Amino acid sequence: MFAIRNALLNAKRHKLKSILVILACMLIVIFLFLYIGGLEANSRMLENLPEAITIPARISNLSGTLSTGMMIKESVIKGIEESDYIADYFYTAELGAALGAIPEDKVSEMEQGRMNFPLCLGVNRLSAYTDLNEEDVTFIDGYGPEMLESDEPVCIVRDRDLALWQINTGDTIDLTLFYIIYPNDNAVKDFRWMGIYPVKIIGSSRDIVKPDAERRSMQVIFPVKWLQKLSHQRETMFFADAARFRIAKPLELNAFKDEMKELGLMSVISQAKPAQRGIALIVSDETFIKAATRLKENISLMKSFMPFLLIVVGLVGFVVSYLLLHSRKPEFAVMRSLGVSKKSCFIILFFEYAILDLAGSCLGVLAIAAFSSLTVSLTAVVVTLFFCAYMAGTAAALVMLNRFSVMEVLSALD
Amino acid sequence: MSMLSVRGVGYIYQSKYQSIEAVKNVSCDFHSGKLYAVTGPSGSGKSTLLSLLAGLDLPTSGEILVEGKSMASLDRDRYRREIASVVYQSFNLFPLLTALENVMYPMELLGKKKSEAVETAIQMIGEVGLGEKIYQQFPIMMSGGEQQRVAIARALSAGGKILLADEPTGNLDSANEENVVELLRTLAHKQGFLVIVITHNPYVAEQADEVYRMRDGELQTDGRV
Repeated sequence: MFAIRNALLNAKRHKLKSILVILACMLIVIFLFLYIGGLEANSRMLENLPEAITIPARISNLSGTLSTGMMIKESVIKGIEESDYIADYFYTAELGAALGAIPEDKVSEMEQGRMNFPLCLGVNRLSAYTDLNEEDVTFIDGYGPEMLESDEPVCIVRDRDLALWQINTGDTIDLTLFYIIYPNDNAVKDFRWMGIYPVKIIGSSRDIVKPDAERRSMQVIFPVKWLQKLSHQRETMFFADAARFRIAKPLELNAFKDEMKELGLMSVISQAKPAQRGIALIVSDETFIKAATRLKENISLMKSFMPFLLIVVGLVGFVVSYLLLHSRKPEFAVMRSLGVSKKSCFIILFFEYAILDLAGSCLGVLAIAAFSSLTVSLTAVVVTLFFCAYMAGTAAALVMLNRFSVMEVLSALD
Repeated sequence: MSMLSVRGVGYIYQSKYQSIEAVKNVSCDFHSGKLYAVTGPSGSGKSTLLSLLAGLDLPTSGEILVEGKSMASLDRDRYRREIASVVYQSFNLFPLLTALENVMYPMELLGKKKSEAVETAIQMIGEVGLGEKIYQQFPIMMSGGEQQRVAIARALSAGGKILLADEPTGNLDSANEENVVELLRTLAHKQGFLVIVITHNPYVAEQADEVYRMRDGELQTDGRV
């Protein structure tokens, strides 16, 4: 109690020195706030980077020239669906269809040109068909775009084709479906008979006339899951023609790429022969990697400087305390001659400086708070680090100053 | 039994470049209720002897006994707080404390209540012949004589039995010198203190009950005048 009261009184009595210590502490705390605040801001930016910069990826052929019209194995699609590293995946499958029932044995007589709907697309969501906006589609009552996520036999037919084939939304029509393969891994499509199915028309779509469209305007859109179900029932292979997605954990890019390798996806080889098999992965991660690398370098640099910074704070604490206390040596000698033990001398002065350091810290916090918003955790970290480092310096100065001969100091005064 | 006994005490100042034997094989006794003077030329070792008596350091040889107990076995900080007090030529008051606060300081070290410390400090200041107007004065505002009286009041305030004074009149004019010496005599003779004064001053030595003379760190002859 005496030590605390004496420390407070000493701090009050040595006004100028106290003010100097408080100012020094305040400036150091402000500097630490800026430094550690910068470090925290960088860490936060790195954490939020995946939201700020998304990483899109898509499947392509080995040469990287195709984004649609490929043969992507169902195992790859399944791997994408199940991966923890992937979010917002879209995939499509191209097929053809003819109005009415065409038995399998009559297919050879049928040419592609006579097919009513050579341009059909299975989608796992409406937005998988990138050229079509939701407002381009009109659904009948009781149906919406979520139907395309189901495995129900429903479809959306282009306005122009409804008029041409004199069918209406709400009708259930018989369609003969043809799946597409590329037998020699070249761009020549081969339509194969898949089956005859009744399908309900749940909506109509506008004709897509866009110069930069990814595909030709599709005539009929189905839920791709229904097509997958049909393939499984018929025990035929299912191929998606396009797949794209977003990386869910951009900070774990390497783990994601390893998983994709296990699925059989390779990096693009631009010199490879153009082919239809979708076996390569294109990840547009340059911007993200650049930003993340820069942030990580900043964070790492700032973190590596932290110990030096704290040593410097400790040294400042040592030098300031030593210089200011040196002139008070006679005072300590008198205290010692009156029976104050070395330990008590140390405690009294340590408390005195602890009070001044805390006062300086509070002023530093207030100064920073006046210009920016502070979090409790940042304030606690800064004040604790400062206090520990600075007081370690002060303690070292006190230990050095406490090593003197009382006899010599008092004799020198006389 | 003597209050303080010095038995074959020697002290060597050991610096980086040299060692100086400041006190050589000194033996003497000091009794309560007496005023002692230790005289000698500068550098004769008398201040060193006083510091050893104050427990500021231990002798490098021999021993000092306090009421028969070796100083080496005592808690010397406690000894200075409770038994022996020292007064210096340059007064050594805390410059930023008032006279009253200076006198209260040793009592606060002993954990006395503030009100009790104030009461005792006022009494001590009265006993050394100073008035109320000095209470709130800082050392810089007082005369040398007043400062030395406050220093003596501070030394008395802890309630010890030994007062050690190193050239207490060295910075005083003759009127104040006489007052301080008279005060020291009163403390020894009427209040039973053991008072030991280090001095060059023949007048102070004349007033002492016993005088020890030192030269080159040794007590001359048997030291008694």
